[in-house]
Formats: sequence, structure tokens, C-alpha cells
Amino acid sequence: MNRLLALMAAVLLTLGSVLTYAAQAAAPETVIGEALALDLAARRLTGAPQAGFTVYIGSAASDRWLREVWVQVDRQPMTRYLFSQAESEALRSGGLHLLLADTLTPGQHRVRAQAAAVGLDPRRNDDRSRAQVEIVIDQGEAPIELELSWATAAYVGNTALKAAVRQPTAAADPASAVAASDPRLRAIRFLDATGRRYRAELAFRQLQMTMPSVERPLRVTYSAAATPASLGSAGPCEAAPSLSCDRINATLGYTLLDQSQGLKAAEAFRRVRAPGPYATAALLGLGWALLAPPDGEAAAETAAEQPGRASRHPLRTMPPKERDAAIRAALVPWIELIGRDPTDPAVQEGLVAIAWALSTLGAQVQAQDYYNRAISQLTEVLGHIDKAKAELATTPLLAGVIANTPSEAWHWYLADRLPDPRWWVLPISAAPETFHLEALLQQPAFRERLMTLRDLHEAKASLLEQRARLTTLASPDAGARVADIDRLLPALDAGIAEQIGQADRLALAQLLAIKKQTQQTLVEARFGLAQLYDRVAEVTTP
Amino acid sequence: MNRRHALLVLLAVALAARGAPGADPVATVGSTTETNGLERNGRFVVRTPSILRPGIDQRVPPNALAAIAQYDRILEIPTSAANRAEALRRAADLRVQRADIDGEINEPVLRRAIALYQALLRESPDHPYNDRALYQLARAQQAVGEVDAAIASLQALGQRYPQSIRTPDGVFRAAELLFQRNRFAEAEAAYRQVLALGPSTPYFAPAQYKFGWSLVRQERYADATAPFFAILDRELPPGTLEDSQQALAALPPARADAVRDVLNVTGRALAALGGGRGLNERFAQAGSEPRFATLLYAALAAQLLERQRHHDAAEVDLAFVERHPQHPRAPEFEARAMAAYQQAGSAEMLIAAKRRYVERYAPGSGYWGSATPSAEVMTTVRDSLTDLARHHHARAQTRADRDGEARRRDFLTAADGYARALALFPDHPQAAELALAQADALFDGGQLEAAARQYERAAYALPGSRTASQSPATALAAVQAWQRLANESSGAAKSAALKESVRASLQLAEVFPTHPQWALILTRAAGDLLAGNDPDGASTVASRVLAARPPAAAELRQQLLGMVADARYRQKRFADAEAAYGELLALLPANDAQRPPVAERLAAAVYEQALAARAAGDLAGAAIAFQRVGVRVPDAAIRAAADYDAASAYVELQDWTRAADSLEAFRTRFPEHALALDAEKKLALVYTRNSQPARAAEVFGRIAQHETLSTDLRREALWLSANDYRRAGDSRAAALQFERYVDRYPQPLDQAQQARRHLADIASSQLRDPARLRFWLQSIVDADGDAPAGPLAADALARRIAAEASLELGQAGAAQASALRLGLPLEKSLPMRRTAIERALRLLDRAAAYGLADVTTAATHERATVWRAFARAIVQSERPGGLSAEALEQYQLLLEEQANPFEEKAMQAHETNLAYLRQGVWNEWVRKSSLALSEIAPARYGKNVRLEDRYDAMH
Repeated sequence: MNRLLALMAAVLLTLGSVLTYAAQAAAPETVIGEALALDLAARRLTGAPQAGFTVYIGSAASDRWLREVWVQVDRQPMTRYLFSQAESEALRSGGLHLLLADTLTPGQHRVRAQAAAVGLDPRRNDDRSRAQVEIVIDQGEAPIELELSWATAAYVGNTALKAAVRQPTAAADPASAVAASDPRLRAIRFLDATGRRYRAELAFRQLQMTMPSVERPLRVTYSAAATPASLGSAGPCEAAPSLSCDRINATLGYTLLDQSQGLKAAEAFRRVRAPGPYATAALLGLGWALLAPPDGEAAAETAAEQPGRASRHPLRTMPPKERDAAIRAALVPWIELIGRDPTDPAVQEGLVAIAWALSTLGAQVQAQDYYNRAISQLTEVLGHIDKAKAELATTPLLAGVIANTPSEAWHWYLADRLPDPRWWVLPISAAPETFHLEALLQQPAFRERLMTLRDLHEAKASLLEQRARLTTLASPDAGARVADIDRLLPALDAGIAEQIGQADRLALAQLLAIKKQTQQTLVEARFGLAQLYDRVAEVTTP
Repeated sequence: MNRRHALLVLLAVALAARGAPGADPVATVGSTTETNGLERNGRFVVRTPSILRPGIDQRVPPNALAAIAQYDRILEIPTSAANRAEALRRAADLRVQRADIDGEINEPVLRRAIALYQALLRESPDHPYNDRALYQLARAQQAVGEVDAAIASLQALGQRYPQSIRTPDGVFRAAELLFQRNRFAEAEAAYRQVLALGPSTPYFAPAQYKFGWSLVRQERYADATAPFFAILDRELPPGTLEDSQQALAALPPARADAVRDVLNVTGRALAALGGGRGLNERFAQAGSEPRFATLLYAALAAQLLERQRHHDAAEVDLAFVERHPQHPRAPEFEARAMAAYQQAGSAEMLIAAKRRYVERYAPGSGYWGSATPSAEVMTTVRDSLTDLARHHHARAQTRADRDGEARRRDFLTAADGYARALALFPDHPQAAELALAQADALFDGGQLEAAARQYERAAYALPGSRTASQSPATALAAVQAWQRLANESSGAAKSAALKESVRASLQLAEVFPTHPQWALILTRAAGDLLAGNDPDGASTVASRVLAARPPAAAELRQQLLGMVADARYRQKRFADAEAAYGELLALLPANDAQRPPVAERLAAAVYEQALAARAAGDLAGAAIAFQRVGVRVPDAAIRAAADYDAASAYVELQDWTRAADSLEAFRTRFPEHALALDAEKKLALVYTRNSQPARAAEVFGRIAQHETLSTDLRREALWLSANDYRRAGDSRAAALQFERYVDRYPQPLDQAQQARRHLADIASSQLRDPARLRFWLQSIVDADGDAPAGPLAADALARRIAAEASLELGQAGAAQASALRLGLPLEKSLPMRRTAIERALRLLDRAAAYGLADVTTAATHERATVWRAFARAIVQSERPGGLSAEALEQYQLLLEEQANPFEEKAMQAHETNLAYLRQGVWNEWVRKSSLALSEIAPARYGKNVRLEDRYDAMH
């Protein structure tokens, strides 16, 4: 229960900082809107040339993540693109990635393409496949669109890269299927799905110019997909277990535990799915529930905070033999916690609870061992935290996002930084600390900062590109636009800096929350160990 | 069998699980844990992880260090106040416990514990264990020496947690520390706080004791007696107590020590409250005294003694006696008072106390009544009596001489005391010593005769005294007493005392022949005999000592020899005395101070012999004896007199040679002697008488230089010296002395002119020096010229001498003039001769002017002779060359003509001389003039004067 409270407090803290930000600088959307308008105006003046040859890539295979693609026209330099998980998912849900937009000389051209994909199971590293295709196109007056698509072949397990060449449609009925499958709309969906909101909006506005009736595709983002449905709309948990059900059961279990309803609490905990986000909390609670009074009677030990006492939960009065058996039973769920993410409050408490249980059983040597393990692990976590804090203080978390041009696979910056699945068993290394990144990315507020940063970054890059073109024009309008852009750029920069700072603050708040929790557990572990040593002395003094 | 059964069951269960309905069941916490280590029917369903087989009874040994390390680490981590408080508390407790166990003060550890406790008290002021924390904090603070802080902690414990079980201990500790820090007022309050908890607390008794102490240390002595009396009343054995030792002996040792301490400190408090008088007053006011009052007096006195307050201690003892005069321990208290005075070195008080003790506790005093005095008290009485006597004796000895009367009185008081002690305790083991002391006191008290007789009694009369070791010394003391009596007496008393002294000395010599000072004492006796005008007796005693074997010390022998010699001298046995002194002198070392006086005595003895010979008319013997003085004692003071006397004797004997030798020796040896001049005169006489004019002249010369003599005597001596030289034929010395005479003594003129005359004669006859002759003649003339003119009888000799000198000079000038030849050219040689003639004539005229007939006639004759010779010289002067005979004749005539007046003058002169004939003067010159006239004018004077023969005959 306390861990939940702590988590809620952390979330509130994060929200608070976001709200503070909103009150201070509500400008990002405005700035982005202004940038977009300016961008479009500039593009109208520069009359960005319509590319004669456009290459899209998509995926039609539902059992594969497209990871990589190479394209080479004639003997021109090869174009290569790596897809992030989000991009792969966007492709798999029908998005198209604009791979190449170029102007070819009229005549025949040889186009070679190659792609690589992996299986859906991330634990299988060997499930990797490649496909390639080579076609000759005839470039005439009209533009040509080439759509490459990863598709499952006729026979099981085989894959192929398909190429389709067509001419873009000038205007289409938005309601028509053609319109829905228009590569340009699918490219917008891809951009939307991968969080490139500015680019998507820009593309859509541009498309609107040629197709005024076209409609904005439904924005399906990664974050939207990850957000669980609200509690009220969930179905019966018995029939369809869900994340919400897990949360409800875990919360219910701790509530019952606090009411000394050991049996019911155990049941609630047992219903929580494992693995799952609430599994660790439920495993921990189950152990305590097995030691609690079964049916609401008075506890042998109160829940009053007594330093050095591992148990925060009511324990039932038992004869020694029964008590030993109950402790052994409690150890069963608790040992499941061993080896899991040590920043997880439940895992941390479990470490101490195991040692406490061993000590209570009289296995003091083992208890000593487990206390020491807990202390070592928690101390190491604190080391990770301190290192992360230090790194955050020197390097903004999202500095890398704006280090690359938006057109490149900048999203890899974060993907690359996600921690090893079992990072805690690795020693603290010279590499930047990222264990907190995954949880951070789960935070809507953080995600919002990230998206806004991307928008600002993309807007700035786009405006700079337009400015470069405008300066080649001699028209007074062009000059006016350049001036407009120059006026807006500082606001964009300020917005970028602000987003980066906000993200860092969120990251720091999260680190501090973990640290506080870890320290609390470490104190308990040390108390437990100290009392193992201090035991006799304590007895001799009143 | 069982195992197989179990396997079957296990298999069945497993199969059942696999075959459960419901495809693809959702994995939950329940399903995950269901089969995981759970046991059914006592069996594990699946393989159990090792953790689920806990090693029961694997105990971890207690490890305070490890525990401390953990608590310390907890304190580094931000955590809840409760956690922190617990970690602080245990981290501190364990440190203090470790310090307890180690038994060593590990200051850094304890300081850390202190900091931890302080942090706990600061951060969690309401922590339930804070009483313990304060207590432990104080322990740690005390251990590291922060005593004040420890006190503050313990006081805080007492104030904040009065009900804590640690409070009595804590407050008592605070009190103890405050006491140690000399913060007695605070300590008092803290002890009082402990006492308020009642006698049930184990700290009650020590707190009561220290409570009293803290009052004492604040000098609140009156307040302090209450707790101390309470302790004594509680701790001491029941009943009235008279003796501390007995009372304490009845207690167990530890308790006895405690009670002894209390008695000590109570004594100290009472000491501050006025000592013995104060205690008396206190008990008098209270109307009663505690049952241990005697102990209090004793303790008080002991306490005062310990603090060197001997007077006050004695006063306490006396106060006790005053309050309990008939108390059986009264003499003991009195004795203690005396001891205290003795320790204090307070002689007056001690003496007073002894006097009082003797008065109170001597046999027959009121204290005893019919009871018999105890032996102990008797001993003290006796010792006190003796000490009193000794005190007076000693005091007398230390008194300054100017306190003569008081000193004498003290000595006599002491003598009385000794006498009383001897009378009271006839068997006194130190009777002889006391008798001697009595004699000493009498001696020093001026009762010399009594002292001397007491000494003699002690030395000879007391039983066994003749063999007692100190008797020789005592006998000597008797002699010395007699001697001193003699020294301080006069007249008959002195003689009597001396006689007693000699008697005592002789007795001593008789009784103690081996007395170390036997010879000395007899020597002194001999001296006394000599002084008593008994040279015979002295000589006898001295000879006895000299004859003793082994011989007496050299020094004594010298003294004795001296006495013998003196005795001989006294007996006018000068020759014997001379021998004795000679012997003595031979004994004395060369640098001995006694040598000069002894030598003088020896010289005196010889001189006395010379005097005796002279008196007997034996001048020769006397002279020899006088001379022997110088031989025996060359540097004797009387040697000069002796030598002079010897010379005088020789002069008297007209033994000029010996006389001269003696006088010369005397003169040489004693040139400054008062008789030196007399000796010179005698010597001059001797030489003169012995016809030794040269030696006489020499002596007269020395006398003439003697400035102490009158001018006349010196002139006379110089005259005699010159004449003696002349007589001795030493012309040069004579001339020298005459010259000196002329130079020094121009008057009287007669002798001065005589001296010049002698000088002229010496120049003429001895020196053959015409120039000197002329000088002295001229000098005579000059001296006369200076003399007053006119014929003076007194100057007759002088005038004659002057006249003769002028004559001699004139004659010499005439002869000189006559020697001048008249050569050519005449006009040149003639005036020269004429000038010389006139110069001679002036001298001759001067001689003639004296009116002395012989001189005048000689001068006149010389005058005539000059003129005649001149006339002749003219006639016979050199003739110019180339003159013809006629011319020559003419020239002859001319010359004769020219010479004639001078012939006339010569005739006139002779005639003048001849004219003296008419005045009855006839002398050689008159005769020569008459002859000359008859030669010049034979016609007129060619006959002899008829009275010539008569005159010759008359001459």
C-alpha cells in the first residue's frame, strides 16, 4: 500500500511540474502553429519542386517487423534506412515510409532494393529474414511512385519484397478506398504513428493544397496504444483479465491485508497475472497475507512503525511450529521476487522480507547472507541512481534528440539508450545510465515533453531549410518571410531548451523517488542485519 | 515402502495438474506459486530451492562492531525520525558498551557515542529511551573527561525523568562529579536530592556521608555535623563509647574504615567550629553530649594534629580535661596535649603543660586522692620534672649574655629541678647524669664554688664514680670551675681559688693518672703556682711533667720549660734562666711566635748577668757579658743598650782599641739609634786619645754633618776634623775640610782667617801651588777688607793675618817688579816696571797700614828695596848701540841723574824704618834698613846701631 502511495506521489510530483510548465510557457503549440503557417507560406513562395520519382516502403506481413531497407537507383549512392520499433509497428499497421524523393532523367532506370525483418518474438535473435527486388522503370514526363512492400510469400515462412510502380493521383475522393490507400496519406499516417507530428501536419496541409477535400487520417500514436482503457469500461476480470484487473486485485489485496483479512487478501493477490506490471506487488502481498490473521482478528504485532522490524503488516499469533510453517509458505512467493528489477518497491521489500523470514526461522547465517545481498544490491542501485543523477546534471537527457536532423533516424537515440533487460545484474559501467528511461517513457508528461521537443525541432529544421531557399529568391515577399523566420527562430530555440529542461526535471524527480524508496529499504535491511549482530546485546539492556 | 508410495502420489498429482481443463490458462501469481515449494501432506510437491530449507539454529555470533557499522551506515541515509533515533541510540549504546567491555577508554569511540547521543536527544527529544540515553551520555562524557558535560547530562536526567530507575544512580553520580569538581553547593543539592529518595535507595548512606562532606567543603561546618552525628549514631556500636580504637574494633573492617573517615571529617568540622572550646560550649548549651562525645574530642584533636594545628589539638585535649577533670582518661588527654605542644615545637606551652602535669598528677596531688598513681603517670611526672629542669637549663644556655640575671636564675632553677628529681626519684637511672647536670647548672648559674664541689662530688664521691666513664671529665670540670672562680675573683679569694684549683688539679693527676689532659692540667697548675708567686712549687710541678714518660706534647714541654726558666729568672738565677731559655729556644720551631719573646727573656737574662758584674766592679767581665747579649740574641731589643754599655765599659777601662771596635760596631749596627751620636762622640774621643788623628778627623767630619747638633758644635767639629787631618798630614783632606769651614762659617773671623791662612800655607808648602797661595792670600785680604775698619782687639789675630798676607802679596809684587829688565826702548819698558812697582807699593802700603810694627817695618824695608832696585836698574839699563864714549858717558850721567830720585826714595824709606827705632822697635827689618842705609850713605849711616845686640838679646 505504501508503495502505491509512493508511486502516486511520484506521479503527482511529475504532473505538478508539468502543470507549472504549462502555466509559465504555454507557447510551444502557438510557436509550432506559427512555424507551420510560416513554413507553408514559404513553401508557397519557393514552390518546392514536385519530385519526379518517389519511393515508399511499407509492410504487409503481420508476423514480421521490418527493420532495415536499402535502395539504389542506377549507380547512385545507396539510400538506407533503419526502423525503430515504433516505425516498424507503424509500417505493420499500414503506414508508408517515404524513402526517396528524387528527380530522374527521362528514360530507363534500374532500381535495386533490399530489406530485412525480424520475428515478433523479441527473445529470438535468430529469427531474421532478408528479401530483395530489382526492377527497371521508365521515367517519362509524369511523376512515378514506387511502393516497396514486405509481404509474406505464398509458402509458409518465406518472405518477399514486392515493388509496385504507379503514377500519383492528383485529386481523389477522400471517402474512396483509393484515397485511403493513397501513399501520401499512408505516409502521413506513418509520420503520425512515429510521433513526427509536425512533419505529418505539414505533409497533410500540403496535400490539402492539392486535395482540399482530403481528410486527416486518425492519429494513432504509440502512446495512445499503450494507454490502458479507463477502469470503468473494463469488462469482468474473471472473463477477460486485464491490466486494470491486475491493478484492482493488487490494491484490493493490500487493503484486505491492512484489515487483517489474510485469506481474502491472498486470494486477491493470487488473481493478479504474472508476469505483469502488478505481479511483484502481488507476490510480495501474498507472502504477507499468508502470515496475517486470516479473518480480521487482532494482530500479534501492530503495524506501528517500529524501526528495524521488517514487517509492516499485521502478523497473526501462532504457535512456533505453525509460525515457521507460515513463514516458509510466505517465502514461496517472495523468492519469486529474487532477481527482478531492484528499483521495483515490491522487489526491494521482498529482499528484506526474505532475510527477515530466515532470521525469524532461526537461520541467522542465511539471514545474514540475504541481508548482505539486499544491502549490496540496494547499494548498487543507489550507485546507479547517483551516476544517473550526475550524468543528468552534465548532459541533458534529450540532448541527443536535437543532435541529429529530423530526417534521420533520430528516434534511435532513445531506442539505443533503453537499458539491458537485466541491467541490474551488470556492473556499473562507463556507459550512460538508462535504467530509469523505460519507466520515464511510460510517463505521459515525459512523453508529451518528448513529442513537443520533436515538433519544435522539426519545425526549426524545416524553417531553416525554407529560409535557405528563400534567400535565393529576390522577391520582397521572400525577404519578408526570411524576416519572419528569423523572428520566430529564437522562440523555437527557447521552446526547445524549455522542453529539454522539463524532461530533465521529470527524470530527476523520478530518480529521486526511486532513490528515496531504495534508501528506505536499505535502512530496513541494515537494521535487520544490525539486529542480527546486536541481538544479544539488545537483550541484555533494558 | 513409504518412498514408493510418495512417488506414486506425486506422479498422480502431476498428471492431474497437466490434465486440468481450460486450455491456455492465464498465468497468475496464484498459479506461479501454487506448486512452488509448497508441501502437501508433509511432502514437497516440486524441488525446493535451497532457500526454502533454512538452516535452523545457525546462529550468528553477536558482533557489536558489525552492528555499529550497520547503524552508522543507516545514519548516513536519509530516513524517518524513528529509524534515525533507533540507529543513533543503538550506535551509541554499543560504543559505550564496548568501552565498558574493553575496559579501556577509546576516546574517539566514546566521543562518537557522545555525538550520537546528543544528536538523538536533539532530534528526538521525546524518545522513550532518552533517560537511558542521558545516563549513557554522561558515562561517555565522564570517560572522555568532559566531566562538566557529564554532570549536566546527569542533572538533566534527574530533572526530566525523576521517575526513571536510573535517576537515583544518575543524580548520585552527578553529585559525586560535582563534588570532584569542587562545585560543592551543587553537589550538596544533588546529594540532598538522593537523600530525599529515602533510606531504601542504596545510595542513601554514601549520599549522606558526601552530603556532610559537601557542607564541610563549603565551610558550613555547623550544618555538616548533623549528618555526621547521624551516621556515627547509626554506625557505631551501642552504648557510651570512651575509646575510638575499641569502638572501631567492634565493627567489621570496612564499616570501621567508613566510621573512621566520618570521625575524621567530623573532627575537621568541629575544628572549624571553634575546636575544643567550641565543643565544650556546644555540649554545655545542649545540656548533654552524644554517647560518643569522647570519641569526638579524640577525633577533633587527631584532626587538628594531622593539620599541624598542634596548639588547637592540645587545646581540645585540655578542653576535655576541663570538662571532665576526674575522667580516668584525663591524664592521657593531658599527656596528649603535651605531645601536641612538643610536636608544635611550642616550648613555652609544653613547659607550662608539664608544670601543670606535675602539679596535677604528682604523687599526693588531689587527682589521686587515696588512689595510687599509675606507673605510666609516674613516669610522665618524672620525665616532666626532668624535662622542666632541662628546659630551664637549655633556656639559660640560649639566653644572651646581656640577660645575665635571668640566665643565672634559669640555671639555678634548673639546678633546683635536678635536685628535686634526684630527691623524688633517688633510684633514678640517670642519677649521675642529673647530678652532673645539676653541677653544670650551678656552674653556669654562677655558683662556681658549689658547682666545683658538686663536680668533685660527682667525680669522686658518688658511689662508683671514680670508675665511671664520665668521671675524668667531671673531675676536669671541677678544676675548670675552680679556675673560673679564680679568674672571677680577686685578692685573697682569687688566691684561695687558685690554690683550690691547683689542689683539684693535683688530685685529678693523682686519681686519674691516665687522664688525657693530665699534662695539660698540671701545666696549668704549674702556671697557677708561678702566678701565685711560688716559683719553687711551679718549678717542681713543671719538672715533674717534663720528666713524665711518655713525654708531654712538644707544646706543653715548651710551656713547661718556659715556666722553669721564668721561675729561675724570678729566683734571679740568671745563668740558669739563660740555660733554660736557651733550651726552650732550641725546642721552638724557627717560625714559632714564641721565639721572639723567649729570646728577649734570654737576652734579658744575659744582660742581667752583665749588670750584676758591673755592679760588682768587674768592668771587664761586664763588658764581655754585655757583648754576649748580642752574641746569644743578635736581634734582641736590648742589644743596642748592651753593646753601648759594653763600649762604655771599654772606654772606662781606656781600652781604646776594644772601645773603638765596640763603638764602630755599634755605629754600623745601629746607625739610627738614639745613642748613635753619643757613640760617635765617644769614638772621636777614643781616636783622639788613641792618637789616631786621621780616624778622629773622620769621626769629627761625620759629627760636623749631624744636623741635629747646634751650629757651634758642628763648626767646632768641622774645625777639629780639619785640624786633625792637617795633623795627620792629610793635606788634601785638611784643605777640603778647611775650605768647607771657610765656606760654611765665615764668622768668627779669627778662625776663618786662620783657616784661610792654613789653606795658604798648604798651597804654599804642601801643594806648591803659587796661584792657590796667591788666591788664599788675596782671600784673606779680601775677607779683612770686608771686615769693619778700626783696630779691634778681638780681631787682632785676624788683622795680623791680614797684614801678613798683604805684606806677602806686596813682597811678591815687588819681586815681580824687580824682575822686569829695563831694555830698549827704555820709554816702553820703563813704564811697565813703574806700574808693577806702584801695584806692589799699594799692597805694601796696605800691610803697613795695619800698624803692626814688624809688618810695617818689613813693608817699609821692601818699599826701600823696590825703589833702590829701580834706581839701579835705570843706571844699569841697556845702552843704545853706536854711542861714542863721550855720548855714552853723557848717557851715563843722564841715567844717574834720572835714577837719583828713586835712590832718594829708597833712602827715605829706610830712614822711615830706622825711625821706628825711636819708638823702641827693633827687628830684622829695622836692622836691614840700617844696613842698607849704611850701604847707601855710609857717611851718614856707616856705623852699626848700638842697641842692636840688646835688641837681639831681647828677641
